[in-house]
Amino acid sequence: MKFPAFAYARPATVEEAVTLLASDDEARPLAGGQTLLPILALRMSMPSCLVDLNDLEELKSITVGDGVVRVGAMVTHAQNLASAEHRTHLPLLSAAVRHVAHEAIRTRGTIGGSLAHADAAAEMPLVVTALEATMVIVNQQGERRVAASDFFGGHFTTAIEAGELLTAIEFPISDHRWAFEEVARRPGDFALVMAAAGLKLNNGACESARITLGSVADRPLRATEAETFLVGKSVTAGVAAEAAQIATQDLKSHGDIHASAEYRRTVAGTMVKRALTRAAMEQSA
Amino acid sequence: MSKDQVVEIRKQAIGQSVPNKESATLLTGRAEYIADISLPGMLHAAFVRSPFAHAKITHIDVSAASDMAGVELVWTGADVLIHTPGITSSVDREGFVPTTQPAIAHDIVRFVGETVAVVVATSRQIAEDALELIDIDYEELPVVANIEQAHAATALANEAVPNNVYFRNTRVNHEVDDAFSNAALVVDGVFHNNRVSAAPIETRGCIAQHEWTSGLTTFWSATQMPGILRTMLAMFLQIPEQTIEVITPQVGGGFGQKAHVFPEELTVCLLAREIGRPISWIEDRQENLLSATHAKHQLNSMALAIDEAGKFLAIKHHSTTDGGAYNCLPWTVGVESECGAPIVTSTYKIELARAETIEVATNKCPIGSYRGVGYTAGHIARENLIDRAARKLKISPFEIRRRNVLLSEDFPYTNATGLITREGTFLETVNTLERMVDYDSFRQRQTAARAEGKYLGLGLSIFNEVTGMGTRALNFLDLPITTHDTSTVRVDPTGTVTVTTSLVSAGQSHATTLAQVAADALGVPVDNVVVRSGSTANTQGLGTWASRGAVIGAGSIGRAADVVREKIKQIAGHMLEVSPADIELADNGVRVAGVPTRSMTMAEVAGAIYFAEAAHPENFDPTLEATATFDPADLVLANGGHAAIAEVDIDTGIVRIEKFFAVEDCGQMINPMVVEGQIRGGIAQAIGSCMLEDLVHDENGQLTTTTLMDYLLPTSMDVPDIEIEHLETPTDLVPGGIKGMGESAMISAPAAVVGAVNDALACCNIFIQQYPISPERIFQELQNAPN
Repeated sequence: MKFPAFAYARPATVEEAVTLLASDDEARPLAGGQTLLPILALRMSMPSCLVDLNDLEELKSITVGDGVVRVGAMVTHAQNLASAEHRTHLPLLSAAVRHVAHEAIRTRGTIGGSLAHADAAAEMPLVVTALEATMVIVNQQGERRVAASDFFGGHFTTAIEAGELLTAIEFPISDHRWAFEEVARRPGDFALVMAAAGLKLNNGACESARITLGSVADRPLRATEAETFLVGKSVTAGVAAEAAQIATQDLKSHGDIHASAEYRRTVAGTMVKRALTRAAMEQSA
Repeated sequence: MSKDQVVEIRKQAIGQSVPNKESATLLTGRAEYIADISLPGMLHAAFVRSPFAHAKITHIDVSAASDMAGVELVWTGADVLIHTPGITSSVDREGFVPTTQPAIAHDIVRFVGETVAVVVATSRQIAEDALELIDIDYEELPVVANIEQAHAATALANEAVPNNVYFRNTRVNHEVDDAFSNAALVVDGVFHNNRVSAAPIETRGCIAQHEWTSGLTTFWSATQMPGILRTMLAMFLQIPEQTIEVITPQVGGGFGQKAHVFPEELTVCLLAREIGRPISWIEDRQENLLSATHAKHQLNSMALAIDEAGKFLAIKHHSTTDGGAYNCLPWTVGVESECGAPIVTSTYKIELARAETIEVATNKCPIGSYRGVGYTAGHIARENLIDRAARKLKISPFEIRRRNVLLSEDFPYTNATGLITREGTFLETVNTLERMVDYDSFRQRQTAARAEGKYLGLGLSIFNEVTGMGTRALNFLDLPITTHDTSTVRVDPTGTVTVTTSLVSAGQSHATTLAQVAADALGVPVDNVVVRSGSTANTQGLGTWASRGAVIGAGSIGRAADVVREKIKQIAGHMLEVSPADIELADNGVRVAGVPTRSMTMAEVAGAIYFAEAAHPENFDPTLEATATFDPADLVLANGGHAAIAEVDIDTGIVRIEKFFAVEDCGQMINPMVVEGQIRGGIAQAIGSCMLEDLVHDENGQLTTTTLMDYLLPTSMDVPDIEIEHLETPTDLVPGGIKGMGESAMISAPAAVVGAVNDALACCNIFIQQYPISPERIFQELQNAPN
């Protein structure tokens, strides 16, 4: 479990980082290293060069303005967990990041690293999908912006091209009430199943709903049919159960040693039901 | 004096929670583990491991790896076979099939993870780079992947094991059929116990160094049994034993996994002798999960016949171990089922028993020892059947146990398998747990929770534990082994005390607890005693396993101290002009019994012995040290029990263990804090092994859980508050009345965890018999539940 040999670069600016990445197809950016380094130790990946992003201070801040929370790609999970801005403006992110691994991993691991890795069982991909965030990607030509819904291409696959770097995530501040539910084998493990529900209520009736499922497919899934179903309804336990049924009825999930496809499909319904019920009870932010 | 002599120890430090002498070293990170040792010129070894469960090695080319810069030597099975056939393991029982595991596989590999080649290089990194250049062709052979396939025997896992059967045995065979046909109630089940790893946080590792000028070999190993390792290196490698010193540095958890002799150790020792430079092998986690012995894997059928009053009439037990491809050394494949059968009736009065066992060969890593050897699976079966019977009879789980445990008027009691119980607090354990759990209010809470859709359950398990494993205990378990373990006690010239023992510590706080024993044996303060261990240069013994440290330590230190004590009495009597019989050792010195003013300090006495011949009586032998062994006259039985409360989320299958209760009676405790540490650690492992941990093999014998991402160890988040109470029933077999207890929680707590889940789900007609109890398992059980 020792790393294979690789070159190492520690750029001082995003431009330098992008230049390095563009010059070598086999180079990989190193953020918090919480996934990449174990993969190297297991020799499942043999990059030619690691481009260490840890000196890029410009990617480490959280800023709020114009109805948007902008989170730098090198912001750690620990920073997100501690952020008062997030608790006010992005309560879903605050709730979900608690489920990301353990303190040691949260201290090093970054939101950008997690999104670029795109593990379908990780929380951050679900959060950006639920909150309809925009991913800011930089290459040598400049900057391009990709909606979260277009960002994930499957297991460990994203819209980031060779020579590009994810630099920030822009979250529009949501007027929905949010709840997050997850089942994992142990606290801090990758999710067996998870769901986020957002509700905008008007006099008790649902004006808009967002339901996102995680760890049931190769990328986070929005349950648009169930969202439409909820509009105009009072979100009672029965209605939540019905929405959960709609959200999961056509789910073609996968099985692994920790949970079967059938478990995931069934428990995804439970997660949706619970998240909707809690979101309906949440006091408006 | 005989080796089971029980000397008198005056209790003073014994029984106190003396702070751990090891803590500062451990907590500041200054303890030296095997991986911290760096010797001048040291090289590093890495192994190629078989990717197939069963295959013929048709071609192996190491030339590219050998040519790599930084690589010193590459060996295959053929190279090592010149020096040793490998590890032959057997037990002296009729019909037992021995096996020889090559130090490095040659010709055929028999499990995924078996070593196929070794690279020695200037760093582990380079060695791992070189592994990738070794070109090996395999021709796959039919795989025996499980017990069913082993029985079918259409293929053999290891051609040395005919019909894939290592051994079969009937430990006890009473006529039980009538009891079963006439019973008011029969409860039975087939229990699938998962394959787990002891998974110590420190993996295995060893360093070998050979000095050709002196002919001396030094072998550092993270082992629980340096003495056995030394003898086995001598025997298997034909090295004169006196030229070998085995040193055990700080060990980061053993739990039985490090109580084996491993093929990698033979190879590393040979390589150091071949190359003439020190060689280090530090196992990584993947290697550990693949090859460092697996544990517990067995299939147990059990049935209990019960009369209308809830009295147990008879028990039937059949255990099959999924043994892997070789016998581990020294325990063999019999380590689980064979050790489980003799203690199958536990603390209960069950007059009739039938216990049958069989060990089969499969293409998997050998089964080895792990805390609670032989006990864990049988306890899960029996205690859960008892709970089930209580539910059927509508009596409490405490009451049904009260009606069946051995009572003090029964002692000494010889049970169905021949185990003699001399004392024990079985009834008190049940009553204490009932009070701790607050049983009536628990049932009320359970009912109230059910109304809110919450499923609470209570699991209960009581146990006895054969501790201080000596000759008598091993023979009872059908292991014809004689034990020999020595300690040396020396009073130093300034009156302090140095103890040397063959017992090594893997976190058991021996430096503290054994110092407490020696302090009380000689009447000196604990701080005046140092306990040294970890080298075969000093004392000889079998090591620390099977809850034997406290018993063997107290016995051997007690006996050695007694010799020194007599010497001190002799000179003190002479100097104080009284009979030696009138001298007492206390308060860091000696005094005349009944005349406390006539005294000397220990420093004065020792000084006189070492430096003042004029003070010596005539013909006085001034040797102020003694070495003694200890082997208890009979089995030393500790006992206790566990209760767990769990909440099951039936919509997700997630189980939260809410609370744990433990009662322990290990006789006179040496150090309650250390005892409680053992209990807490064992409970964590209990929760892990029956809720989370699972070494999963696919149909090709491929291990699919090779990292701690997939092999789920319990974390602090998974372990609830643990409440502990103590009972103290001293034994007269051991100085101070001390009993062992290291394995207790892994003997009995798993049964309580499983029982809690089964109690929570009993209302859904669910009785889980396959482990671990994952969310998926609960989900499936609910899908298939009758209602």
